[in-house]
Amino acid sequence: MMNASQRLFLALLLSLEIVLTNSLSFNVILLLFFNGLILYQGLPLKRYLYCWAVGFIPAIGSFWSFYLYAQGDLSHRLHVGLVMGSRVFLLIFLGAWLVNKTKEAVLLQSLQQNLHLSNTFIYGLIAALNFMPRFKQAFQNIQAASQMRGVSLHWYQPTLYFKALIQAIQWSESLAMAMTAHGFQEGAERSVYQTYPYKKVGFAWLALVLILTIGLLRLLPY
Amino acid sequence: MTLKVSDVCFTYRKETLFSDFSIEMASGDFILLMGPSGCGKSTLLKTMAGLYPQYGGKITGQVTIDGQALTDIPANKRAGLVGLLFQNPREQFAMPTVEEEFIFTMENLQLAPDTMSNKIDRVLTKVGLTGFRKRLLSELSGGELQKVALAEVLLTGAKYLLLDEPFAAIDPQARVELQQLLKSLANEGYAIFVSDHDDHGYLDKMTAFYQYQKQHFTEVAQADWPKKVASQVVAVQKETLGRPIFQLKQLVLENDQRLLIEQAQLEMKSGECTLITGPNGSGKSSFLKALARLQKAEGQLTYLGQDFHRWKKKDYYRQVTLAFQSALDQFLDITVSEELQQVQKNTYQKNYWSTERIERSLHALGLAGLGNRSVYTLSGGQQKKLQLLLMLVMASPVLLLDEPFAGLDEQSVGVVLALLKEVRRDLDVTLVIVSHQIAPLAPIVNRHLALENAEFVDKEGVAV
Amino acid sequence: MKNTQWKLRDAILLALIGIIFSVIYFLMDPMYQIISGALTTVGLQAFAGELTIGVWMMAGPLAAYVLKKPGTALLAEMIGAAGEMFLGGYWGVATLLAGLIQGAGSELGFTLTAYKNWKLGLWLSTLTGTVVTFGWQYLQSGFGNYHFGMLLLLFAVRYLSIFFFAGVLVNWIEKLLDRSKFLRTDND
Ligand SMILES: Nc1ncnc2c1ncn2[C@@H]1O[C@H](COP(=O)(O)OP(=O)(O)OP(=O)(O)O)[C@@H](O)[C@H]1O
Ligand SMILES: Nc1ncnc2c1ncn2[C@@H]1O[C@H](COP(=O)(O)OP(=O)(O)OP(=O)(O)O)[C@@H](O)[C@H]1O
Ligand SMILES: [Mg+2]
Ligand SMILES: [Mg+2]
Repeated sequence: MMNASQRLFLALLLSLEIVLTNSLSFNVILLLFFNGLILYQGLPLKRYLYCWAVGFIPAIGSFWSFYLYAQGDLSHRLHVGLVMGSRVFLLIFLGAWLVNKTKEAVLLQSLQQNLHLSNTFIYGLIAALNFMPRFKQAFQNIQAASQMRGVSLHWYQPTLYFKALIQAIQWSESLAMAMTAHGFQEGAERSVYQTYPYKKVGFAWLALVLILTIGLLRLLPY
Repeated sequence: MTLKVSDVCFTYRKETLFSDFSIEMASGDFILLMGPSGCGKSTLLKTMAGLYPQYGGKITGQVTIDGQALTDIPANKRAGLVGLLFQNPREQFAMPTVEEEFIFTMENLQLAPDTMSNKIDRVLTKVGLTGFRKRLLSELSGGELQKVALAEVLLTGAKYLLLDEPFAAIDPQARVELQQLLKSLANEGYAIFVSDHDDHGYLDKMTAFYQYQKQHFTEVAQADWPKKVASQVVAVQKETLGRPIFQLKQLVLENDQRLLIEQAQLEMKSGECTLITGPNGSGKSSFLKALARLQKAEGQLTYLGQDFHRWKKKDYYRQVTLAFQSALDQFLDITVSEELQQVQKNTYQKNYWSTERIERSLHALGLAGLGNRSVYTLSGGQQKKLQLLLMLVMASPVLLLDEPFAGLDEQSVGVVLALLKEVRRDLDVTLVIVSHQIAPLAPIVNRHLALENAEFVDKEGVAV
Repeated sequence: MKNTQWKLRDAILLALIGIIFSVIYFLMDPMYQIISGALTTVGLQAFAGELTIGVWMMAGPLAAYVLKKPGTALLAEMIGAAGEMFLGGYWGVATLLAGLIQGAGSELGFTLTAYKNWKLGLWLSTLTGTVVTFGWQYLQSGFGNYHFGMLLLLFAVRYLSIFFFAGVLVNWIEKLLDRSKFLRTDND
């Protein structure tokens, strides 16, 4: 119904609305809607429960903090607390909807094609993303290497970040050279094997959601 | 139709690496370049591919292809003329799978999308990798990666192929195959330029030979080419040795559901020097990583009678250390002398490794005078030598070495070997070495395990 | 100002820094949760964010300091945020907005020096980063509901956090990097 770029636009639009308004009922309706949607789209149950689990403490915390320390009378503080608490969950599920079934590389390539973004940045990002699995390995190696030399590195020491940065610089250099050797030229035209065009109906959806949510917000001030 | 290098001189950070280099490459040529580590072979190849000065360095002289200066050609045209295989096979791909990587290249060259699929199949068949199209590059062995890299260069239509130590991580069988493939490419009209530390297998194929001498790469006359040496089998010197340290039972090693090793029983004794050989991708590096607990392995695995997992990581790594395939992973500090001081402080053999002894080894390895250099600016070979020295100074009871000679010149291999021998004799360090360069190791190993059909087999001899 | 053109290598490095930090950001989430949980029991949950915010603002200044190009801090922070979201960070899409605000905040510090003095820019960026993100938090989390004294305290804690993580630690890492001479500069 929508291509990857359009899904991103929708998510950004909704999150702006959520963040800039203070309607509990609006939050709850959207929350129910997105819960239903991602379950319908077949989000694994484990992942779904994870979303609720990670949101629990910040949501409660958020609620509690505003309930206790916000200005105004009790009912106002209760309202603010509930809005803030539900907001945490809503944003989590909106993110889960966007990320579910959208591969990063597809999103990047579709953004590049749709918005005519710089290929240098997009392919820089794609190349960097593809190196990430190796980072885990590299990180393990760094830690093992230090232990093999009789010291342990901790997260608060700059050495660890420094080694990571060294690794990143090395990879960026060799990767860039390799891509150049394989014909990548900054700013040059490229042919395209796989296209990700906008879907027309996607824009209709975007407009519909925009109108609906603004309408809802007018109807449901609380 | 030539790639012409005229009087090229390369300066990097005010240091001249080589000067007055001239060469002409034409269709049918098969040129070998040899020289010690750090002399600038990689740099030369990158210059010839047009990556320098784009990526740094100062160059005088000129490189031209069919009369056009290389620096005037944009990268997406250049790739269609000259192709480069990088020294490190793991760092030359931007995309996750073979197919996507090839598509990326063809998109750069603006090839028509509907021809891409056929082309991919064709080049994969050519290098003998049919069925690799959807494979993840991160899961291929070093040798497989080099073949993929070669296939990728063949896609572009480039006629000048530059290969930077393409066989450093390749088993002898694959080496012969690939050399033959290169030769047949040369016969088809490609021009091949290879840098290597080992002249094995080139002598009957090459058309010209260049060697590094006194800051210059100079051509060697055919009469002075190295002579072919007959291969022979050296018997492994078995010794009666100490108590068993590693005891592995029902070892199963897998990589993403692909079985690599299934071994009912394997024991390693203290003081042994074990050589492990096997084809590319058979799982030798994975096995070492499993011993170093950097990779999951199933079975009953014990070290000094205690289960692997009962050992605290910290204590375990005081006993067993691994010299990584990539030297950079091993460094913790910045300058050469800081690194050395660090190991000198933490070594398990403080009395043995006196400052004097370290100095001496440093000299022998040709690393003297580099004390203030940042380790990150050394050449690949220099880094490797320093890395090995660091691990030898640490002198843990067990030292695992993964391809310790990859990228080292003959003389350096000799020095490293002498050091290994000395340390082993004096400190009784147990060595487990994975290497494709077996000839130099033959005299010191007393066990040879060949990884065949997912199982280690004890061999009586070592073929050199 | 000749340093404005983006080369492929710089773009990859920028992306790598952004993505590395996205992992750190992601790993910080549970950490935040613990701190937040602990502070919630005493009703000071608002301080959890202020204490830890500095960590979430490291990518921008570090990338800017390494790459020395206009726009770097903003981009790096946005990549970090996007990566965090894709990894499943629990702020969901709000992470993107936060990244934009945080990146813009840090970027402003470097802009104030007209991208000429990167060291000064780094220290300024801790200040502008604090002001901008605090302003955003004021709107987004309804800080307007708090008393003035509380606001002042929140601001101070936020500044300290950003100053340490996005200032001191970043500077420290950068010093190591300088010494390693690993980064190729244009004047070789
Ligand atoms: N990033 C760098 N910074 C500074 N100096 C470098 C860098 N890379 C290489 N060098 C220097 O350039 C010289 C040549 O390096 P190069 O990698 O071309 O050598 P090589 O002949 O390919 O060596 P090897 O056989 O070890 O691969 C080395 O002496 C090294 O010190
Ligand atoms: N990081 C990885 N993730 C998944 N699979 C991998 C990884 N590295 C290697 N493999 C796979 O595991 C197999 C064994 O790899 P390994 O590196 O152990 O081979 P090797 O015997 O050391 O080969 P070589 O002689 O080429 O170095 C290979 O076929 C490769 O496809
Ligand atoms: Mg080299
Ligand atoms: Mg290996």
